[in-house]
Amino acid sequence: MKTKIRLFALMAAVLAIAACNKNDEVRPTPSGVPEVQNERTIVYAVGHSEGHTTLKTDSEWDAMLDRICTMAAEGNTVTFYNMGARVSTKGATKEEVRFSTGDRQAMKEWMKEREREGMTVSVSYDDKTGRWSGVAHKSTANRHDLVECYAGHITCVEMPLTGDPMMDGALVPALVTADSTVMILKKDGYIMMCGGQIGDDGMEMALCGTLATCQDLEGNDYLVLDISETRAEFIVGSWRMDDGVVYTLADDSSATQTLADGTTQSATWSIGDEGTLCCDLLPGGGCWMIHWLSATMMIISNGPQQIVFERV
Amino acid sequence: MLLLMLAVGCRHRTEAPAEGSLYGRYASLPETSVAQVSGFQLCDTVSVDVVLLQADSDEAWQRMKDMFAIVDSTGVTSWLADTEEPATRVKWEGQPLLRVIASHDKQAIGLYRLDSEEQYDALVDYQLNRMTNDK
Repeated sequence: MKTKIRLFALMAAVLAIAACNKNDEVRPTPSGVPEVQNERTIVYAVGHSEGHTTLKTDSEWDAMLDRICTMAAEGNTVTFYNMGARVSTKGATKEEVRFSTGDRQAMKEWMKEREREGMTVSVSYDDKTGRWSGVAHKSTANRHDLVECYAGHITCVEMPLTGDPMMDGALVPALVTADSTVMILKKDGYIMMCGGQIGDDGMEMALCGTLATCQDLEGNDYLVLDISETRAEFIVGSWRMDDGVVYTLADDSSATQTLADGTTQSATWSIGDEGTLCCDLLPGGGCWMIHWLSATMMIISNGPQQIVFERV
Repeated sequence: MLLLMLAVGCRHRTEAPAEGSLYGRYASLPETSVAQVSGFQLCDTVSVDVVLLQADSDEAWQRMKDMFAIVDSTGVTSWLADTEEPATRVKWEGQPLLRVIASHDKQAIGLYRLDSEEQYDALVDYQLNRMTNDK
């Protein structure tokens, strides 16, 4: 926790870039059009300092990405860890659509439309006013077991001509992995493109990645990008527990535990079938669920036990 | 309201649930009454099969809400679901699927199997009509 607070303090200057558009938080909503609330939290770092911020409107999001593009153009290294919609209660996101009407048929059509989109709908009827009220939200049910996280360096990419007038030639933020794979970030948190390379060969258009959740120390849920096949590379390295014990997880699957007195033990580590971290050197051994994974911090749990690691 | 109607619905028949059915999956839930109704009549021409879960205590209702990832606490909550995983919200991409309806007042959940647009339409009509009739 102290680490996180310290990192947040270091990020104060960066966090300020998201605070420039507070006046845009309340947007006029045309009469009769359902109001859309879409709060997203992103977690990122500049250099070795982590931070996160919550963006409440599309204009805030746009401004954030514009500034990130500027920072990237100026030579800063910005790493995104998690992005997506922050959930208010386990099981549902804050992305809500509300609707009210005195017309039963209109309510019926609204309900069916929202349900067809995969949303959960709650409807009430007020006897006194004769009006129906509905709220629909996207649920994250069944994604709580997925705790994958992804990191990459941010850059800006000019989209190739694809015939899509919304994207052609646009300068968009992207993540670039160590092998130069390019992934375009979309506002809804999904990756639009993967498998392409920065270069002259153009880029392959494809959908990849899914949203999942992970939980930080404060109990906040985040939707994160789930790219399990690249996850192991972010675990490789040395991680220190708060009692000084250091675990070194190498890319050849070897694991070394170094106690505070310098005593070492060796074993192997692996990613379990359910995305868990498995290593017999962990207290009690077995496979531990990964709740948080970033360049500087990893949090794992096994039943009531939780371990917070700092990257060495 | 809607779910309560199931208890007094006049034109339906009950059948021995098949092994591995939705009924079988929930039959052993503690403090929960589970019923399967085949051919529950929504209107003169449309019927639907349904499994009804009725919580017998506040604790059982909370467990059911957790099980189905229900975060709302008022009104009637509904969603389209996978036929094998009623808690999994799905988009309308062809039938069959389930429409799950949860009544917070009645602390009950109905799992309605939909094989056609006609059933979907009739079920939403039925739900809204019953809510209106409470006026």
